[in-house]
Amino acid sequence: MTREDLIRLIEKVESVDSNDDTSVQLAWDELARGIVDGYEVARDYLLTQASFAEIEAVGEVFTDVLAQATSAETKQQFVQLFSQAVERAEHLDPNEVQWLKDSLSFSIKENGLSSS
Amino acid sequence: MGSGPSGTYYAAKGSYAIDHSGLIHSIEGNFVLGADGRPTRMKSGGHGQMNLQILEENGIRYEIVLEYANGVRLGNVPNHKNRAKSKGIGQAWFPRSWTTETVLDASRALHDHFSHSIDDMKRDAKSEMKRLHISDSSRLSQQTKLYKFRYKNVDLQAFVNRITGLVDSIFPAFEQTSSIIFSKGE
Repeated sequence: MTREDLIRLIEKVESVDSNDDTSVQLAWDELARGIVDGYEVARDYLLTQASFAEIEAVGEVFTDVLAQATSAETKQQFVQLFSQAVERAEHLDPNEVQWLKDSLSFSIKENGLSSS
Repeated sequence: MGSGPSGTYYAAKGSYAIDHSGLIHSIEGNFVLGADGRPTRMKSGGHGQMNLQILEENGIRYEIVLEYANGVRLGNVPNHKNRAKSKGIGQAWFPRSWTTETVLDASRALHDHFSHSIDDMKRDAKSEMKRLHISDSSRLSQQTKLYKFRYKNVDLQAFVNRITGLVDSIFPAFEQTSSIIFSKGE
């Protein structure tokens, strides 16, 4: 996955009608698969260039990414990446970050992982 | 036949308009389940009174922000997986009195009113798949088509599946022609 691919997948999640649940689910699945396949691209983008809205879009698929990651080690690697992305998001928009934090902690809990 | 989180069984009676998964999705909603199998977080759908009951039974917080005279309520579910529904008026609920049968009847009314358009839509989807040489409908540019209509004094919207022609999701429109009788903060 290239950076352009990742941006395109994020844009799809951001642009889909939030009430069109079938299309939302497809866009989430695609983005989650892209992130699982392209850890390094996702890491570089989320921790340096992604906007707050883009990090929020990724927040919707935290739980799917963690569920799709194959090994315990990879899952923890993603937990660390998403935690850092949420920290960065807090600097970008401290007023709007609560849902993102909750989403991360739910995703960690849902996948039976630890936050460290 | 199917069973949603409430354990209620819905029979769509071989409906040409919506199947049981569409009913469960629209009325009760789809949830992320915890290790004990109980709903922990809303994922999609959930526009019926039964949805609010499931949220309450499982300690999932929700907020009603606005209510119309026709009984439609708007609000949010803060821990919703879909961020648009986690704040403000991102989520809509049918009037309290709407039962499974009402939602089924509304879906039938939609199909009866737009039957030609739905037939055309299905034909277009098949042509598009043929033209693109694809067999997987998830690769279509659009999976669903939005229909807007009014039933029993409620403005509704429904996303109809382009392949099956069945209602994937039906819910109250956010803007109702009915007047507002309650708005939080006013």
